[in-house]
Amino acid sequence: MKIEFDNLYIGSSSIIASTEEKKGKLSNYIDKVYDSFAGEDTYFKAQVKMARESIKNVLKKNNLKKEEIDAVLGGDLTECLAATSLSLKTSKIPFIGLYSACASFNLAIIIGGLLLNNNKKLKLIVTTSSHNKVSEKEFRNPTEYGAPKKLTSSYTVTGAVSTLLKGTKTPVRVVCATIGRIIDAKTDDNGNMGNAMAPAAVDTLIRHLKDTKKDIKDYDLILTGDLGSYASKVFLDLLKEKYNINIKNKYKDCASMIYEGEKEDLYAGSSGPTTSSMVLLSTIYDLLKTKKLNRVLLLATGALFSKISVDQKEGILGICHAIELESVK
Amino acid sequence: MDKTLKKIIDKHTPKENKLKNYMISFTSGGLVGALGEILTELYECVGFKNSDSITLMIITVIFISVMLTGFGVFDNLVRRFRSGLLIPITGFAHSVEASFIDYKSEGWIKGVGAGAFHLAGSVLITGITVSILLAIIRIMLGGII
Repeated sequence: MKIEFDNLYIGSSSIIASTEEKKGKLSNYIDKVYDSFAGEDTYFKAQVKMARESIKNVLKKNNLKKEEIDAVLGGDLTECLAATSLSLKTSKIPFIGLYSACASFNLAIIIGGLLLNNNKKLKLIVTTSSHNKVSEKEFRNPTEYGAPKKLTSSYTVTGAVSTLLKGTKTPVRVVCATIGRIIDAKTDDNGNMGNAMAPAAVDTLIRHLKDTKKDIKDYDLILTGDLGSYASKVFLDLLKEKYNINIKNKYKDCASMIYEGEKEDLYAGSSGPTTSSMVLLSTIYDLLKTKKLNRVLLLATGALFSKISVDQKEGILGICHAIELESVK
Repeated sequence: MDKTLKKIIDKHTPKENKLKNYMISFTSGGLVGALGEILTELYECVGFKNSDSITLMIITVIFISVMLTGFGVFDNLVRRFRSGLLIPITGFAHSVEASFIDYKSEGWIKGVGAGAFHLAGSVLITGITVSILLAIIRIMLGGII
C-alpha cells in the first residue's frame, strides 16, 4: 500500500533524556537531562514525567498553546501505553494511542500524515518515551538482578521524544510511507530481537521501493531503527542474497548512533522507540535542514511480543514502518 | 526458519567464549566457597559448635550479598563474575532482594508480597519437590532414621 502525504512537515522537536544519553553522541540535541528517577520515587513515574516534559517543551518551542493542538499521537513500551496516557492526564488534548513497539513513532507520524491529508490546518504532536529500567522490569529480570546478558541483547534508551506535525512548510517534509507487515522470522530469543526485526526491515524496504518505483540510488541515506550491530549485518546480507541489493555505503543503524564508545552494558546497541525517533529528530533533521542530505528513508523496526507470548513459546514477530523524508527547498 | 536467513544469522551471531565464562564462574564460585569456609573456621575459633558455625556462616554470607544488592553493587559484580555468584546461596539471597527492591514500587502486598519470590520461587519449588522425592526414595530403600 503506497501512502503519500500532501502536506506533512516536521516542526520543532523536544528530546528529554537521562544522564547516560547526555554522555553520548546526541548530547547537544538533548533539551533537558534527568537522572533515572527524574525526581520521582519510581522509574515508571520518571518515564511519565519525561514524556510530559517533552510534550510541554514542543508546545513551547513551536510557540503554541495546548488548546491549539488537535491531537497527540504516540505510544511507548509500557503495558497498555500507560506512560503516554498518563503524561497527558491533565492536558485535555485528544489522544490517539498507537503501538508498534520500537516502530511506534514512525507509525504515529504515518497516521498523523493521513490526518493532515484530510485537513492541512491540523497541528499534531507525535510522542514516544522509554525507560531502560522500566523495560528491563517489564520484559526481563528485576533491575538490580544484573543477570549476564547475551552479546546480542540491547540497551533500552531512557528518554522522551516529541515533535510537531503540521501542514505548513518547515525544513523537513515526510513525503511518503509504507506500513509494515508482521513478519515471523521464527525466532523466540528475547536476548536477540534484532534477528526478529531484520527480515521485517528487508520486507518493508523492498515493498517501499516497489510501491514508490524508486531505486536505492534515489536515497542519500537509509536508516534502520534498532537492529543492533549484529542484526544490521543480517539485514545487509539478506538484502544482498535475496534481492541482490547492496546498500552498504549509504546505510546506518540508529542503534549505534546514540551512545558513545564502549558503554559496558550496551551490548549490540540501543533500542526502544526513542532510539530511531531521537536520531531522526536530532542529527538527521539537522542534516536534512542544512541540505547535507536530501532524501532519507527511515525504516523503524519493532519486535512484537510480550513476556507471556515469549514464555508460551509463541515467538517474536517483527514489524517495520518506513517513512521517506526530504529536505525542503 | 528460512534456510538463507538461518545461514546469515548463524554467520553474524557472535559466539560467547564459553570456556572463559566457565573459568570465571569456577573461580568466583570457588572464592565464595572459600569465603564460606573461612567464616565457618572463624566462628569455630571463637567457640561455636561446627553446626552452629555453618548456620552463622550462611547468615553472614546472605547478609553480605543482600547488603551489596541493596547498595546496587551486586548486579555489577554478577555482570563480571557471572554464575559463580548466582549459583551459591549469595545468588538466591540476591534474587530475593533484587525482586524485593523492584516490586516495592507496587506496594507491600501486591508488590513485595507477591513479587519478592518472582525469581526465587522456582528455585524453592524445585528444591522442595526434589527433597520430597529424595525422601520418598530413602523411605522406600528402608533408610528411615
